[in-house]
Amino acid sequence: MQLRPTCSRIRFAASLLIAALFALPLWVVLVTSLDDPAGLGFSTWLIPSRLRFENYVEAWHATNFPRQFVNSLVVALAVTAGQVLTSLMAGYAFARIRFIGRDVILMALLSTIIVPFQVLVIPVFVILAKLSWINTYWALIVPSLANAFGIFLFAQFFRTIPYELEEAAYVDGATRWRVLWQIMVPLARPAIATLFLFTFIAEWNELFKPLVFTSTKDMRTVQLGLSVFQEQFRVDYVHLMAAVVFTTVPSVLLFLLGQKHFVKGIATTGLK
Amino acid sequence: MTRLQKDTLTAYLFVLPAALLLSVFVVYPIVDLVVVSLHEWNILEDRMTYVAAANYRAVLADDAFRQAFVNTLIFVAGTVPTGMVISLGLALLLDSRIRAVRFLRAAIFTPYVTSTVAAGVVFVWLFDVDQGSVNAVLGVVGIKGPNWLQSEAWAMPAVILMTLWRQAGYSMVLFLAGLQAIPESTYEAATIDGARPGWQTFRHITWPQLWPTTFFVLVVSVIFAFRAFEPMYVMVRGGPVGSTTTLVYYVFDRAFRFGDMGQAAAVSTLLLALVLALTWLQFRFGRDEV
Repeated sequence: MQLRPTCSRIRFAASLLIAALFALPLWVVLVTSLDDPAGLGFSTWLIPSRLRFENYVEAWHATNFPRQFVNSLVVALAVTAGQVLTSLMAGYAFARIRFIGRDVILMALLSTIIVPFQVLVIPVFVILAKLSWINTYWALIVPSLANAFGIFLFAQFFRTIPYELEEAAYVDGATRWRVLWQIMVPLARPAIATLFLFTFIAEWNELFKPLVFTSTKDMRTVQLGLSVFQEQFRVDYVHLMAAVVFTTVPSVLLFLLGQKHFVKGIATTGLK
Repeated sequence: MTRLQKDTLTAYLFVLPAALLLSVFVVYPIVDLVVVSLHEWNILEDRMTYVAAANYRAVLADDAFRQAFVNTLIFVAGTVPTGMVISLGLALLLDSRIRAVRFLRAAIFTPYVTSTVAAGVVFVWLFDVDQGSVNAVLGVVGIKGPNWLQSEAWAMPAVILMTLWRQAGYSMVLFLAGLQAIPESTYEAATIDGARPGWQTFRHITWPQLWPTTFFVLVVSVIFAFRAFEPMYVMVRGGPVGSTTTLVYYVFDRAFRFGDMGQAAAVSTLLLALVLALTWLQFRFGRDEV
């Protein structure tokens, strides 16, 4: 909408104020994380009075964050790679191949999107226990390797690509498999970026799965580790905030780098 | 083999990994959930006894379950209407060509990519009775803030405030997409017809055109709120005295602290039925153009 200049200025001022309000807690976290652990007080929460970077080193080594970072990285990368792969293949088939039962199978798979994981935690726990996967990487990875959201995303994306691009390849005798990898996948880079961002950030931030499916210290992921850290350090807010900063940096950084894909992904599919 | 048969075979191979995984970890568990809910089964024992609807009767008679249900409704009522008003307001404000608009949107969206654990840890500190910023600010204007997280009355509002802060940006993006889908020409036509910009335009043009988006955001927010667990776990562990124990928290407690899988499965089944009913509403009354 085109606005008159004064109106636009008021709007800008209001927006700036509100955005600042939303960013305020994050700023307070940063300032506090660098404060003196002994002398934290109300006066220090807006302007840093000191920059004590040792807080980060101390928090990092206080429990077992290095190990938890490795665990989270392994799980998030494996789940993300798996979801991209299974969704690419299925999405391509639904968008580009005519086959018997296509619409029924697509509807059946997409309807799984509405079932929240939280209500299935008991039967999934039972399956994982039977496989003896509880407290292993498998429990955190395998149940998340396919997701209807990804299939939907790629099916939608592939439908927008003109057929001519594939046809030349078929004339040359290429198989579907080769067309998918050599022609479609390079074109699908924006959609892959979207799914990568969503899945990685969701997995990095996940608490429920590791809470229920792991039991020992060395299997804890970053979020579970942070939760335990909070229990142990209760009112040591300086070190707690330092831990909040380094556990949050990966997801915020990825979001800021891929902001365009992220917002577009929500807007086109309307789903997390 | 005909072309169709050959293509069908290829397509099945392409779809197989996803279909297999979703069958094993979503479709089969739904069936198993209902089966477990009809049995008495403690996780420490290997024996399952068929008890028909006894688990359902037991949880429906359980005061803790009723409280969890009420708490969930309070959380829904506390987050959904306010959250929608806030994010629609934000979207209307930021749907214009003001300076640095992308930066401002990003600032509001960033809380959504922080984890619930991190956000929870931060808000526990902000709501700290002595050292927290919230009570410090209230103190400046002469209000003595409550002991938020140790109070049965104030713990849930604190959890709700954290959730609103974290999720406003997400619904804002949905609303922004909806607003941007309204053609500019509709507004031009309205101006020619004499509608003044502002409230009139909003009421007669924006609101009706935005309705599919609004309805979609409503349903998604209600479903999100019904499955809430992590904020309550991180900030107050479902307490004090069960005042923030939601339905999913109740399931978690029953199943993994008391080992009562049958009753936990019964509650999960009820919750699933609720979510399905809400989704049905979306399909029935919302146009799926979002």
